[in-house]
Amino acid sequence: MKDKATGIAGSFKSIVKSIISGDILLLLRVDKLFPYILYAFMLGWVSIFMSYKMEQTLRVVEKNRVELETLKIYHAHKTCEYVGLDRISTVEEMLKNTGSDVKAPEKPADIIKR
Amino acid sequence: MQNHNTEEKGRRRTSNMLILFHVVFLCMAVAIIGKIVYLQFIWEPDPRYVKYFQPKKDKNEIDPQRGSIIDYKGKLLAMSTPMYNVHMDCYVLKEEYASMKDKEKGAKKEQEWISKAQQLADKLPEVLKEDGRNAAYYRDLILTGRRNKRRYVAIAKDIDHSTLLELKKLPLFCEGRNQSGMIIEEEETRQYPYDGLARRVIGYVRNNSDTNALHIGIEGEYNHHLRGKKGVEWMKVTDGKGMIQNMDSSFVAVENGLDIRTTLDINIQDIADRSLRANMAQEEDIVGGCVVVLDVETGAIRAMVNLQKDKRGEFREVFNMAAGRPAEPGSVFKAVTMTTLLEDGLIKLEDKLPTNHGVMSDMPKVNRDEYITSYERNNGVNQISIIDGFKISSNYVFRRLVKDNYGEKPEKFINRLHEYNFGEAYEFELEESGSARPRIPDPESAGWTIYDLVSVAIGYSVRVTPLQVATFYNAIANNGKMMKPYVVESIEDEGRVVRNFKPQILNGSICSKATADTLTRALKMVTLEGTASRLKNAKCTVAGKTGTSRMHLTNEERAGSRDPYSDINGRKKHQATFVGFFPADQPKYTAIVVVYTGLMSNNVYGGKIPAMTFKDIVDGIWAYDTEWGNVIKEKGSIPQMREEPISTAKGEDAPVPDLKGLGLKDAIFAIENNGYRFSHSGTGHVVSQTPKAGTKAKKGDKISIVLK
Repeated sequence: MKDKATGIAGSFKSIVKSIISGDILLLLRVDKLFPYILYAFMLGWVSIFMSYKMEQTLRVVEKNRVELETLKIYHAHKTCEYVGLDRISTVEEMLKNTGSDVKAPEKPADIIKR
Repeated sequence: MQNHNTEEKGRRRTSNMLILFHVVFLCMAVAIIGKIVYLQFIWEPDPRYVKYFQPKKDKNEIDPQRGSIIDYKGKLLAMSTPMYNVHMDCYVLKEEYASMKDKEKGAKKEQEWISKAQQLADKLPEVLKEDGRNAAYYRDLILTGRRNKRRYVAIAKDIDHSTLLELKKLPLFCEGRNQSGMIIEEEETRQYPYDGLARRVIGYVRNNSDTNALHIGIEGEYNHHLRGKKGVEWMKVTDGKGMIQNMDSSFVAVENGLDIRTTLDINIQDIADRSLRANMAQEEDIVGGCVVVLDVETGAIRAMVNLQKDKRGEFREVFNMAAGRPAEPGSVFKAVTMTTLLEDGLIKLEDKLPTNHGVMSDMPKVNRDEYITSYERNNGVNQISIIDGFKISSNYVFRRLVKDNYGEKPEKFINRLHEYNFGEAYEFELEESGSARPRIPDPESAGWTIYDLVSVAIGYSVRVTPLQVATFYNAIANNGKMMKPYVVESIEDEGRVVRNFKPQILNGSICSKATADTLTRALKMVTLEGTASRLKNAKCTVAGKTGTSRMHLTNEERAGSRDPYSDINGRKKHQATFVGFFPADQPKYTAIVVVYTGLMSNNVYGGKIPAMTFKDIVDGIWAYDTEWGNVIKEKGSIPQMREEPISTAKGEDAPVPDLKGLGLKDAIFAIENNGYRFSHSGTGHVVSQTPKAGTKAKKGDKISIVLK
């Protein structure tokens, strides 16, 4: 039991000592895993890069959405304006105001059939 | 040896220093990790500052777009568009300029701002075009606001998008919110492109969250379909200070409102509205009127006009009288009586009865029918046929017929009226029908007398709405099939039909086809030779009936008079009606025109203003509906198309065309087509030309080109 405790204390001491001396990673043979560590770093970098690019794209999307919204509003206003002009009474009034001889039809349009 | 010791000492010192550094960094790493663990699991920030320690997120509530209301051909009757209110923070940057270390520079900046504000004020009247607001007004508004530290000064209200864009281009405003203090507020606003047309049927709301007027018209009745559902999205700030949707947060998609397709035809509505307004304007005492146009086959309402005179004397859509104002219909009800008599096989149109000077000798309380005495006088006869009685709208004839045929069994006659759906308010999409319960007297009731029966025969003692009368006439036009009038065709989502409202039959056969044909013949006679002869020259043959009834006065209106229909000065209120269908032989539309008067000494008749309005409506619809146009077949004469001569030179002073980059062929075409001559050198494409493009040359002048 005493031997076991001494062994653990020795291991702990050597770990602390190696941490202090800076060769803990070499002790753990992490140098063998170095390519994987590099790979993990690369994945992390790619992940950050992709997030950044995604944000950039979403900013463009957001900008386009605002632009589309503006166009939709413009379209809605124009539609409203032109629909109002489509009213028979309005057309007749406008023709009258411009002094035109054109009047509303007094008979139905002729139908051309094949 | 000494050197060796010195080196050893130096190496050890270096090693110790490195170990020291290493330990320091190690301690720092431990401290940082410890701090992270502490912050993550133990530390709790002051609640007041929590928001500053969290990434900025904005909850964005997306308002749904309210659905549109369209007519049955797809024309927009109501739609939602954003409108803008523009305010100005007049005090913007003033403090910053005042607190500048370089006072002179601050004063100069302030002066520049004021100068731009003055330029803005000069331009604002041109863009906003508001009465009484000139450049001086805006200049005073802005500069006073700046002096008085006002940060929210109203510049423009309810402007559209185009105007907003123009405003944004003006001096100062073009520099953005932070420089100009321009504050733009967007508000979704309901637009009605046809203004007040069919306003009562369509309804009115200011915007999607307006709950005040929602009980009116389609806007009110179908609000739950039109309004849609709000959406929610979370936004976050990006590194570039932009806002983007936070994909990690929950998202509720906005559901825009559904569109309502009505049965209205806005052109027919316009024709009916215009005709009614024009004709009502002829009689000062008319206080309101309504028109309903129905599609014969389906009962779809193509137009529903309700105009009431307001305090300023203008006619406006205020109340749905067509569906919500039951009243005694008068002589238009004689067609109902005649249908019953014909259907029961009790009369033929040519049957005759004695005129008896228009007096019901067995009913002393009934007034003499003056139309009969005139008829006797004009025709020198003492008998009148039923068709003639119908043409002149004789009360005596119809009272006599009903008294003689149903006097002993009045319930048979009254039950017929219930079969025609006059006894109940059928479900109608628009709200007023709920309160507009018709009234038919009950022969079983204690107050019933034979006078009620003869009164019902001529359209008194019953209360029905104009829409119900039109529905009955529509059934006659439809060979006895009574269709339920309806105003909503379908509910749609982006053009896809979600729910379709099919035509509904109220009564599959209120009468036989033979009865319907006979009645149509009688109704045609009314417009050709009877009380509605004003319709004789209508573009289509019309079958219809006039009706004039006096209206019950309130106690206040009677002012002590015993007569329920007139005041102490003998003045009465009238309801004048014309109802019919056209073309009479192949009916496509049924229409009713009703006008209401205030208290007046004269009479208003259904054969005058209502019939004139009806004629204008018939003529208008006839010209508008292509279905009734002449069909040109193979042998029709179509004007021969002629080839237009190709115009070449564009006149003596036509500018020289730009030829650079063109090949030789194209360049020659362009030169000669404009009436010039040419010379060239080289091959390839034109690199230079003399004279230059845009200069003026005379026809026939030479243009030299160099190709490379």
